[in-house]
Amino acid sequence: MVLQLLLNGLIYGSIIALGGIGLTLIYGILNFGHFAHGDLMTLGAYLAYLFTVQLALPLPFSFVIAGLLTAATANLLDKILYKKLEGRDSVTIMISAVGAALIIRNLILMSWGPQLKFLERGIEMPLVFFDGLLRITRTQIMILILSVIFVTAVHLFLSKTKLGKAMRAMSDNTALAKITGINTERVIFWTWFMSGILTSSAGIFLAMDTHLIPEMGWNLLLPMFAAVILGGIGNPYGAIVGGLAIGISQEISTMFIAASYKPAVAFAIMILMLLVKPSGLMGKKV
Amino acid sequence: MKSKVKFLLILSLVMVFVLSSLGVLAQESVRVGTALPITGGLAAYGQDARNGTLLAQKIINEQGGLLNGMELELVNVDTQTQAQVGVDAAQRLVNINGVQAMVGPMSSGVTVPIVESVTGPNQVVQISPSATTPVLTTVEDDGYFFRTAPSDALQGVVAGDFAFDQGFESIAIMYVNNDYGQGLNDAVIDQFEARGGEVTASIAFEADQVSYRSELMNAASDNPDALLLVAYTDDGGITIIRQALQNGFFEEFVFTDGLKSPTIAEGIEDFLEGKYGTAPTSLPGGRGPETFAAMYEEEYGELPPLPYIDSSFDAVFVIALGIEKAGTVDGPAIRDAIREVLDPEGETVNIDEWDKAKELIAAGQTINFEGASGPVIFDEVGDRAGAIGIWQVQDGNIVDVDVVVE
Repeated sequence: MVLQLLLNGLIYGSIIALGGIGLTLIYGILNFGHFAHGDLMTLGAYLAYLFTVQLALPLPFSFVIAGLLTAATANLLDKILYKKLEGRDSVTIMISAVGAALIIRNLILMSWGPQLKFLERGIEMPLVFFDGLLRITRTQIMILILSVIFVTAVHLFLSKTKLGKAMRAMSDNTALAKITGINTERVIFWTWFMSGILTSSAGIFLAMDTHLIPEMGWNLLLPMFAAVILGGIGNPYGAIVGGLAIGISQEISTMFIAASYKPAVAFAIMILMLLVKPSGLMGKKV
Repeated sequence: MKSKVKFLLILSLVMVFVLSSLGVLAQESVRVGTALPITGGLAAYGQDARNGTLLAQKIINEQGGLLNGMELELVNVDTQTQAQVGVDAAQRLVNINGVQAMVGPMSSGVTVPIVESVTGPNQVVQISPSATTPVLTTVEDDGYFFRTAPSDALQGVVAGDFAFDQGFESIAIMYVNNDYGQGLNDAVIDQFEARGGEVTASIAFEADQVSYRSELMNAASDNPDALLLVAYTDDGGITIIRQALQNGFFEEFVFTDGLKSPTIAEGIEDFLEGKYGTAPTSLPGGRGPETFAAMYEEEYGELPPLPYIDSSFDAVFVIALGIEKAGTVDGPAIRDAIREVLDPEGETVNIDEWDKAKELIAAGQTINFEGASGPVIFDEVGDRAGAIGIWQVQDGNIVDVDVVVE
């Protein structure tokens, strides 16, 4: 039972982590909580639905196109909204992000309707291990493998490439990064781009594992923020660890408390973290 | 002097506003609110239920409107199937649109707070087409709340009996964590255990979660024979069914009214073939259901196999009867008029006979309304006398197979 819960948590946690990486980088570099991030995730999932189910294109192809389109949307949001508000109070920008979230979600609602959708019509029977103690579907295995690949790619990008290092530098200290001559425009562009791809992938994974519904991303926003705060705002590695920690503890918690309180576990962890070490597991300062 | 003029000007504007919202000034239309979910967990039902209310509006207006030729105007607000949003929406209806009567909302979880905080205190008549929780029987509503769907006290008994008669000796229950789920869960447990069955687990779940695997794992831990699921389709129900099958937790199910929709079997027809569920349904009698299906088809296409479209029609019709009888658009008067005018012993009025109803009311007679969902009979607390239907999944469709009368 523990094994199964651990696995469920790992899958859920990877999805939160993928979304959280972008969220934390945006927070670090642009200094505001991007409340439309969850709805970008939803957008990615619905675009994948459009291409795979409605247009009957192969899933890998849809996956890539949906990611690119979501990344483009993220950059569009930055260009027509957040950039215009640059220098304003961060509360203003955050509220405008909530507005953007509502617009995206309602456009999705208008285009695809409120009913549940599935990337696959039927259901897939799981592989059973250890006499029924562990059940895992091929889709879930694929999600786990792809998540590991994505996280590794992000790690390599952030640690080996110049752009990635610039991103981390800006996230650490924007003013200092500007002085050293980092092209901030370029870094901001690629941050949105990468966040868009990652969050879209997270959305598609979630849709593959469960279902599509216009509120899917919004509902995941708070666990993602919890993961970001847990790991330390601005630190992408923290977001990964935080995401996995939140996902796993939510699932494991059901052994001890009623499952309907599962969503509260993320908040309990977040509040505890804010009380004990506000900078997060891997953060430096607030 | 000048400031006094300004003050009077503003005062008169305020008076116009207040009076018009009270319906004192001549109005060309009679406004009735509807608070039906267009989004959220019950969206799949809300949109069709709204069609039901619009159909009633159409019949009434085509046959001369009400109160000497005024048009009935329905104003809908979306509850999003959420209590907080629903309360705000109802408040908007009452305070801004000035309605004295409203239809909705659909889910019990939204209805209870609206009765307690909006319609009850403001003396506004409210008829829900689908809120079925037993809680609403005893809620403090001062007589303003009615429902055209029967209480789950009955559905729980029928579902409990039915599960036992299917040969299930033990069941696990998973129910959506709100008044609807809780009420039905309690009623099922009482009945199933009274018959000698064992409820191995009774688990509340939150709507809109991405995964219910942990809940399902708990529910399946004592190897019960079947899962009795109290849920709505889109905010958890379908996901639970699929994950239960996918992970091998359950193969046998008993469903309730919130799941009576062909969408539950989409893509998994083979797994759900022959499974049963319960749902409140029409009392036998009258030609309401057939007439309604024909009217609906003409206006919107084939009547979907969903519950509560007919009871939504009836809710609007009953409010119109109350307004016509009261002779005024005023909450307390409508409340009393509904009780006065409806009478199982009265003259029969069918759903396409609004003009006849007006004549009867003008003549001071009482009415036996044979509604789209069968004869509409309220008891003293505003609950509908009704019946529970048994439905089955057949080839991916929902088919009504039996009716149990109280």
